[in-house]
Amino acid sequence: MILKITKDDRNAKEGNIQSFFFYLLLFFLFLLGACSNTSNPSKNSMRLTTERLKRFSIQNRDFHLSDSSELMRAVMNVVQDQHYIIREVNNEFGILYADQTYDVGQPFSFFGIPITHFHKKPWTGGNLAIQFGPFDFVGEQNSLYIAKKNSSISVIFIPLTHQQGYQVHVSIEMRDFFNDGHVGEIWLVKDPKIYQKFFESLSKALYLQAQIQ
Amino acid sequence: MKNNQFIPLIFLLFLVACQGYSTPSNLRLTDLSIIQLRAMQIRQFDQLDITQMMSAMIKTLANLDFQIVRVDSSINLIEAIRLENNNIMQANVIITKLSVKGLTTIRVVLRYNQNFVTSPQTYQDFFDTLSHFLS
Repeated sequence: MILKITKDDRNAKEGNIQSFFFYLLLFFLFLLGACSNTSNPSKNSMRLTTERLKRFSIQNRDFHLSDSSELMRAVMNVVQDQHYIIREVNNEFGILYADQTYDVGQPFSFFGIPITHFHKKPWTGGNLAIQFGPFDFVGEQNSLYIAKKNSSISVIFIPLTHQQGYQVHVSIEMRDFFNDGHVGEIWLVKDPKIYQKFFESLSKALYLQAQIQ
Repeated sequence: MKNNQFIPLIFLLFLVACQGYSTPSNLRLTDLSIIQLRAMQIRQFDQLDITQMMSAMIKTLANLDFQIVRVDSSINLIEAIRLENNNIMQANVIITKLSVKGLTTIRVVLRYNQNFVTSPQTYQDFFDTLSHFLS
């Protein structure tokens, strides 16, 4: 009887080890899944999807102004107010590109709205991890942690076809950088509130400019 | 004594591992021929006004979530980048006017992360979207 119990016990232990390795294998397969979509862009990569069309109203706003340089000056002021450094401006084609890099400990917000790590819902592939500053992923020495965040903003003026003025298109993107220089998570900001605030600030800047002149 | 004969063999085996560090024969990222690549990347349009073409291209890129990094109006070059779902897509567009035939040529070069985009469908989708904004 005693012998039988120990045998069952041993079998149970072996079963545990086997299931442990099975789950370990599943875990590694899960990790490998992340590599699958890196070599080829998705099918809808270059198509005007319904999700993109829905975002038109969030990222675009019409401004009825005849002078594009006046609009550009206002955009530059708004972008600089949010601590961005302007990298490229072309007034002929109405484009502006600016970026800025933050340390992880720095407060992190646009137009007063904090940017959290929860930019996507977990079930759509978002990140569940909460990050409270430098975070160790592997051991104590030579450890990897997110050291910097970079944000870029692009503003484009598209002349309106039937009336005077420009359609202003804005997009804000974010990327994480590890301490060894590798790029971590990359995403496009899709929060309507942030774009709303941008256009509000732009309207205010244009009003102020008109008052000064 | 017999065992000692295998030692040089083992070292030779180790050396095989170094083969990976040989100099690459060329610097191209794809096995596709230049003709195949150009067929995918280049389209000709009847539209003669380059400024209009550039505006339509900028509008297309912006609506496909690209950020325009640089526009050079003297040589009609557009550089754009898109970050989404942990991937980086880079685009380079050059617009040239062919005075002989009265046509405009557009060449689009796409790079996805560290890879060259070699799928003809991706380029075709891009030009379809561009046509939508040109009409």
